[in-house]
Amino acid sequence: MANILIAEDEPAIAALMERSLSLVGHKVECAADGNEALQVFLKGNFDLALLDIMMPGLDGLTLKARLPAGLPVIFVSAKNAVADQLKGLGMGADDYITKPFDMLVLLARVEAVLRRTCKSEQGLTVGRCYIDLQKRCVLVAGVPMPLTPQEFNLLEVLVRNRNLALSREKLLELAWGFDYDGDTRTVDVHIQKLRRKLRLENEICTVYKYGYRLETGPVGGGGGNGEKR
Amino acid sequence: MKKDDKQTGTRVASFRLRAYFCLLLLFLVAFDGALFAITWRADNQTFLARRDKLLTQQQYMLRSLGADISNIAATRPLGLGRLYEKKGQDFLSGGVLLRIENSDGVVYSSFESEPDAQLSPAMGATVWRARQVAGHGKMLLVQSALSQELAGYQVLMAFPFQSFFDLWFADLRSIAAISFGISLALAVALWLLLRVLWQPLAQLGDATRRLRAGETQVRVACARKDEIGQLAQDFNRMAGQIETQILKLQATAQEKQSLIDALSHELRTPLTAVRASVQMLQMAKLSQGETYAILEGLQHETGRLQQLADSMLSLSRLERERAGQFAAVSSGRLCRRAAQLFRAQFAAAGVAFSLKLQEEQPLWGDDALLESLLCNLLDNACKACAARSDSEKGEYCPKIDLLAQRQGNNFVICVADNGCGMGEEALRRIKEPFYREDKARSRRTGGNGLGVSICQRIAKVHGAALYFESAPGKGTKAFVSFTT
Repeated sequence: MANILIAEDEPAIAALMERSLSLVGHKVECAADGNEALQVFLKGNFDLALLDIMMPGLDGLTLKARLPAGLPVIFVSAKNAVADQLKGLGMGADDYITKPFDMLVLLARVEAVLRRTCKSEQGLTVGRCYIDLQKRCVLVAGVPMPLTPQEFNLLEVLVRNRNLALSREKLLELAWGFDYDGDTRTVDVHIQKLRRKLRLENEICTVYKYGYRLETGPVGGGGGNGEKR
Repeated sequence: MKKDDKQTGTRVASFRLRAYFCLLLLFLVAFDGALFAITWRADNQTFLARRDKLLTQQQYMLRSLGADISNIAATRPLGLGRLYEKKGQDFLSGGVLLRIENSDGVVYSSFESEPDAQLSPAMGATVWRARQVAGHGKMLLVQSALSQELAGYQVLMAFPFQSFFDLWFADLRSIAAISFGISLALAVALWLLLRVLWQPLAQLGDATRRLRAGETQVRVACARKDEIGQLAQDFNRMAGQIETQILKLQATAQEKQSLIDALSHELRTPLTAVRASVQMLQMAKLSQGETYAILEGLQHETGRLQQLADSMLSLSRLERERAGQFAAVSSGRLCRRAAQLFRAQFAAAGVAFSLKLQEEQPLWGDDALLESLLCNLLDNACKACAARSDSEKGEYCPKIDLLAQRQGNNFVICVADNGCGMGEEALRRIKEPFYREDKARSRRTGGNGLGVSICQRIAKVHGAALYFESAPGKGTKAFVSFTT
């Protein structure tokens, strides 16, 4: 999983970002200002940095200039003017997210940047399955299990946002696309198929009156979430 | 807009043209009329003098002719023809044409053609006419009807008169030339004069149009002391007032805009936290401890939002309410009350507090607002001391003084602390809404960066000045200076 550096001076937001990124399996380090972020960066080996722009001490833009050019950077800022976004992107940032942001959007954009820089995860083990995201295939107890493309799409969405409950509407939107004109019941049917084929009855949980969540144990999760439980 | 401009422009020009032509017409009629009247009168007199001279000559000639005719008719009536002939030749040598008529008709004529004038004088009388006679130009025709023994004789004499008319026409021509020249000069002079007189008006019109188009810094340069100069001065004064008003409005609007910008930015942070917290609660599988931690964070963020809303509300209320419920406030009581409110807090923080009221002054203002102003300043002082004692362990003794004294014409209340102090940039920006020197600290102590802005507004409402003196690491002095 990717090592991610967060520079954010608002502790509440930093904590929430850290929590959500850890849930989907990233390893996260937080810094409360620019100078601290620089020190943290020198100590670790990071695949991506999420930088707030307005921070005490060193601001995000200056920090980006000090970090090596090869490190992918996403600015997360309350400055939502187009000029600010253009400035951030013009400095070579990979993306620009304005506050307040949607957590799933944050995760998706982080994933997109990681995929571009080939730091995206190859695959992971859930229960008795090994899910290979690169080759788009699944091994159940070492035996390949054929899945339809749509089933794999749904599985990938669940894996990418694992440990997070996704509503049926959200799943429909993410796995089928905006323009899919189907019922949320389609989601239920596909979920049932996945559970049966992959023997993930315990891992793919139903969240009452909401949707579904793929829960991974401490092995696959790797983040703080597992340890705390 | 553009079309309008053009219309106004042509209206001004046409009015100027009309004024010009009316004046010119009046001028020319008066001048040329007078000139021609004078000339006509002079020429008329010349004409009358010439005519009278010729008439006298005619009377004389007629008398001699009459005498001769009477003589010859009495002695040798047959020689009359010769007499006429002789007289005719005599007159002709003097340029005078003669025609004699009697009851038999025309008995003699030296006219080559009949003159077209029908003159029929009464017996013994003489009539005259100036007429064109072929081959001789203008002539004065004088016809007399002889009386007594020569009754029935009509004698017509024509005297050359062309020279007078030539003279007259020459006169007229030169007068016309002079008149034309002078008229032309007048027209040009009048045009220039009007232009000079009109220039300030045209400038004023131009300036007005530019002012209307939004160019508020336009002014008219006009040093004249007359009504137009006065008008120009008034215009300049008006434009000046408009400009200051607009600048004031722009400044207010800008201030409001930046406040709103800052506010919407300030709102983003707690909103982000709230949204992310809610999503986390909704989506993640959390332990009870984690859930409580997130809920606590949510409560904290909503508290911040609440505080922000309160501060914004009091700011905007201060903006709106002016000298509403103002009354006399005793400065001494005000300071003592504010100090009382903070005593416990100071004691807890180990701050040495002293109240030094050298002077008392009844202030005109709102009691509650002034109290909140002082409390804000005391609170800031307390935070500054806490900040210094955090960073500087050891022999630091926090100290806050509340002073009231007179400085010249002003009554000054001063809150002095020996806390962490501010740098130059902080000192410059401290009155900006949402400015915090140390965001992390202000978050911990519950500040939202609006305190000093509110103090500034309160001071402004009371016509007082709020200013700060500070040195980093030494302390800060906040002054509220009331003009008395």
